[in-house]
Amino acid sequence: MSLTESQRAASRARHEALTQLQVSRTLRTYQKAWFEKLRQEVFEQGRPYAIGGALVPHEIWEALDLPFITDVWYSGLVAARRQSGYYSDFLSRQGYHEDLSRYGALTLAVMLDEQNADKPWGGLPKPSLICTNIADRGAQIMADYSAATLVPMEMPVLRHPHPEWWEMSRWQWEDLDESPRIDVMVAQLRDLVAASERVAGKKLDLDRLREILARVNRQEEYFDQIRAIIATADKLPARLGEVMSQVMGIQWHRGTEWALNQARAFHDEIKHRADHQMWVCPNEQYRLMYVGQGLWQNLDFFTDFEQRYGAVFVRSNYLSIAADGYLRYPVRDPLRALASRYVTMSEQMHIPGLGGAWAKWEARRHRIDGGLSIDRWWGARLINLALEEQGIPILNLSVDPVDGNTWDEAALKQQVSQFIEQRLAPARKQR
Amino acid sequence: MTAALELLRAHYRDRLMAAKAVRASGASRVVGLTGTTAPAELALACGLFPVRISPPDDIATPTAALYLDSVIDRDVQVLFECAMRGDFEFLDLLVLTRGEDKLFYFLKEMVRLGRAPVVPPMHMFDLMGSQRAAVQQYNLQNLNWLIAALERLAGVQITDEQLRASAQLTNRCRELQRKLLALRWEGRVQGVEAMEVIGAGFCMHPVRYTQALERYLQELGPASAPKPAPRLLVASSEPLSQLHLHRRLEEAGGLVVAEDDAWGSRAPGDDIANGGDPKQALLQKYWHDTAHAGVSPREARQAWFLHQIQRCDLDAVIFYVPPGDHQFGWDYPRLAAQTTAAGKPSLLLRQDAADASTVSGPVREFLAALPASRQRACP
Repeated sequence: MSLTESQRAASRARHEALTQLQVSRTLRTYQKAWFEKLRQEVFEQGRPYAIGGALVPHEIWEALDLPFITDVWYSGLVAARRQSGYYSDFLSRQGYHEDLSRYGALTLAVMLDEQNADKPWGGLPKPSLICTNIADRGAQIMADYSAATLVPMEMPVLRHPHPEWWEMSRWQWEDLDESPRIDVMVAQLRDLVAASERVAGKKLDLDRLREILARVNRQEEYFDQIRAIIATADKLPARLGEVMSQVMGIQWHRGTEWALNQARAFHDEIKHRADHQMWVCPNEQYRLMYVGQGLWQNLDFFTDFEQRYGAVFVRSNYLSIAADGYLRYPVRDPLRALASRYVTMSEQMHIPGLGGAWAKWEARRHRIDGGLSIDRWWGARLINLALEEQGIPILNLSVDPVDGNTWDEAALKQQVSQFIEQRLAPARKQR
Repeated sequence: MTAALELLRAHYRDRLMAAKAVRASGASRVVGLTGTTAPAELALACGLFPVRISPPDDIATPTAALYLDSVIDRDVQVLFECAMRGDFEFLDLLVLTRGEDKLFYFLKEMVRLGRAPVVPPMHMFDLMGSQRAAVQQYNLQNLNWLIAALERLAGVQITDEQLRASAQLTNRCRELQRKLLALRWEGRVQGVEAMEVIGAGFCMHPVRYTQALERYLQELGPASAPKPAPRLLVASSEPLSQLHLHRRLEEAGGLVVAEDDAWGSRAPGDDIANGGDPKQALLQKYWHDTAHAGVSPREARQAWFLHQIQRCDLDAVIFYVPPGDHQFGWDYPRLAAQTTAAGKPSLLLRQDAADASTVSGPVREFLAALPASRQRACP
């Protein structure tokens, strides 16, 4: 599915009408200006830039003043523009079959598709450097196409999982992440630093990197506080779609002064709304959590159940992992702290035992009545079982987070409606 | 069928037969190894019996369906089911490699929850596939941890002499397997049979396997005439631990002369170096000379395949990418283009070869359309 310009305008208008946070507007304005500047610098001034996966240490590029974008962030833009179906089909036509993940690959599709000029924010210039997880084979194709240097990161297996990992991750990370695993990540980070220095034309300043890590910590502390406000306020003060967009918009720029200021503004606005009882849905009846990759192709989907059922989505992985997955104290050895941050990044949400324990803790904290999950996510089944065993009903949706070809709005709405009526309502009565 | 082939085939079909017999007799303790990167030589060096653990064919997976997500590889689901129902209970240690990290995580959680009393003790051998210096120390650490786990189990310390002796033993297997691979290219062994003969090596003690393989090769002799059939090379997205694909291809009239897979042509590779530090030699072998999807960069992973497609005695390539692939598909278009550039026709099979009704038709059509002149066109 690819929208016409008038459909896109209508979608934008609807989205604008649903927008409640001032920071959503400032984020959009900033992103657009930042991307425009990036394109100008890269296209007109020939400045090199990097593309990274979501789970690689952008902080190094920030410290080297090397511009970068994140593949899943740009994929999210494609999906939000309702062009994911088109680009997914494009990849299929190139011979990349439909079972291959499109989550980050829409960025690759946009780059390879030289015929279609209708691309988010004018399309992507060719990068000079690419860094992704080693399992991301699409990155090699992008590197071939761009003649870019590819630095893949290989994550070591977690030998001793600690179910309550979030209690250790901030200060006790050397034990949590296991020293040999951190060591091998540091060694790979050194490879990335060397490649990045060549592209950036300057040496990495470790003091600067330390400052950036400290700034990221301060930013994530704001997210931690925002999560606490949302979890403990009488009712939901901000819509999930806006919260998710805001969190990820800031995360892609983590380590910059702008990101820190935006996180502070985000916190202040959420606090203000909670203090003044500015609720998303004054008739709030059901509090739902969302487990899994973001439904980036239609974040407004979460708002559709407010009026009819008083159902609000209060929690996603995105804000919570920002608080629990990123914070690392102290940052005395910045490469080591960075290695710890990324050595299990995202995996702790999937790994059996870890994902379930975290989801249960989050559910209790957020006073959750039920949850939505998407099944194209490894580890989801055990998480869902853990939640169900705790008395929290879960609805599993079979939909890709970004691929519009898997989206059937009417069917999905019906599924969620039935879930609320048949599972949440009786459970609520029982309580 | 000769006696040697009968023996090898029996071990290929009942892959745990020898290991169970050894365990039952009390002759030695048994270590199960998943994947292709765990060195059996270490177990042999301390008197343990190593056996490759592979997913049996066509079993129902009700327990896996309860806990494992549909996006997880079918092989992992089957191995999980086997472990949970007690198939591996007789093992004294189950060594898992990074290709089965999800199996490790799920089984570990089942153990933690007390739902897996029949799962044997596990050890994760996390040998990274990156061919770069950054992971060398980590890979060496993992080798040392595996040695420590095996020594603890066996109650002995592995000496350099023992390690050299066991490497010598497995090198002899490799040498014989390479002879078999050469005979395949001469068209004197069917692909199905070759897979059985090679695969048996993962399930038997190397002394017995060597004896059987020597006999098998002798019995093949010069009498076996080359088979006049289109010679096929297989590149697969998943390990070829079963024979379905080879059966379909050869029932349709083809001859599989090689496969880019550790269950077939990539099994032996080079010998373990016999000079210097035997532990380092073992690490080099399993780190740099093992065929699996985790090898990076792409050039290292695909060099063997790209070399084979240049061979003049190869007629065509079969790309086998059944449902459930999440990685190989990114490589396929490029490999297919390189195959075409090498002047070889290729067929992409996206169906599960276990289902003869959907696979046989396209294979027959493809083989029938191969240019006759290409067959035996080698100068």
